[in-house]
Amino acid sequence: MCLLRNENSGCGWAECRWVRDTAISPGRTTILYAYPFGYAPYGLYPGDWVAASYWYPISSPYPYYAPDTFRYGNGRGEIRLTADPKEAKVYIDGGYAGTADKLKTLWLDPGAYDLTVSAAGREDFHERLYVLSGKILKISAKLDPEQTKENP
Amino acid sequence: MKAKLGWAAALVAVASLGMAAPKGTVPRSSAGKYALHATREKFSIGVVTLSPEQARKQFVSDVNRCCVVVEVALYPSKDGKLDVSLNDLVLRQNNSEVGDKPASAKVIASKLRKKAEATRDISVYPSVGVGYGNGGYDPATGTRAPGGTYKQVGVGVGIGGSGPQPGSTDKDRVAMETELSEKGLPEGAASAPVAGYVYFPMARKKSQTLTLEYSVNGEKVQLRLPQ
Repeated sequence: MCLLRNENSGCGWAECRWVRDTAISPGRTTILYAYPFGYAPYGLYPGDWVAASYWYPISSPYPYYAPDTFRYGNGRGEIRLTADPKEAKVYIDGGYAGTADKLKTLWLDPGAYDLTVSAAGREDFHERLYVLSGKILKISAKLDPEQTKENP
Repeated sequence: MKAKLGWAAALVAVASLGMAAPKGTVPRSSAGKYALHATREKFSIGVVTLSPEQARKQFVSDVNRCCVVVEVALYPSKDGKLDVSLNDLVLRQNNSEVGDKPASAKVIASKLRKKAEATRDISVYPSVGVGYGNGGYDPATGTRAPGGTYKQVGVGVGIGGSGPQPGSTDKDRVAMETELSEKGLPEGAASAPVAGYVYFPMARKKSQTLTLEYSVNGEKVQLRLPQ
């Protein structure tokens, strides 16, 4: 899975025109769906073939969100996130959102999201989030040390 | 192009259906682990009613506004299969002949949205003002009227805020429906234990006694829920 950005559409980061893709072949790619990252640029529909020259993958970790994706907006809900360790990586619906210490407050559109917080040597923290406009959700993600698998 | 669009739409629809499918809650190791439980030949049932406080912690959606929420766990007997359906559950108030059937996540989400929409943030605040008047010139007598302090008392009323009420938008309705559906009791054929929340659209009253009735394949269970 890879997240691609259309440089030629003229959209900036703020417009957040993101497309999540499942298959990339040299020269061509298929847009399967755009939700929940955003919408395909005007004139493109799910299933359309797009020349790869119009798109390019953003540096890892893939996929990731634009920096201002989680800023305050009218009609959004607030997630107050604390994590241990603080520098744990935060993923929303599989997309990298940033580290927990910099993402103390996330504003999301109403909906259901899969939150994953992970750090090296720790067990992943998973939670299903339900976000409603104007509501505050406090999440405390304490990541336990990873248990080493013992061979029988 | 149209065919491709059709396939893509079908894929998205299947994916979204899969995401919205009820997963319920994790059933406890046995029906006996629930506050209320009963065993019949073909199944065992465990039940626990969520207090308003528990419902507040368990749900982002404000289910206390509309419903009594009951967690139901069903355990099919060994080598048996149970057809789980919300229609087999009834909640009776004060041993009434007429019972209430559970409502679907869609119906509850719509109700909650309507209630949120009808709610306005109304804040009433008192205001008191104290001032000093320095009198004035009386043209009839040519003298100066005496001044003095005065006091004004009033009440201000503020309605609404800048944003929408929590849970009042259409996106909120969809989010609430997803939450209620995903946490709801999964319906359909079950050969392993299943559990989830069941939503009865009724007002919670302190004096009422509630009895949950579950009947399937000619077998019936009645469990009186604690207040």
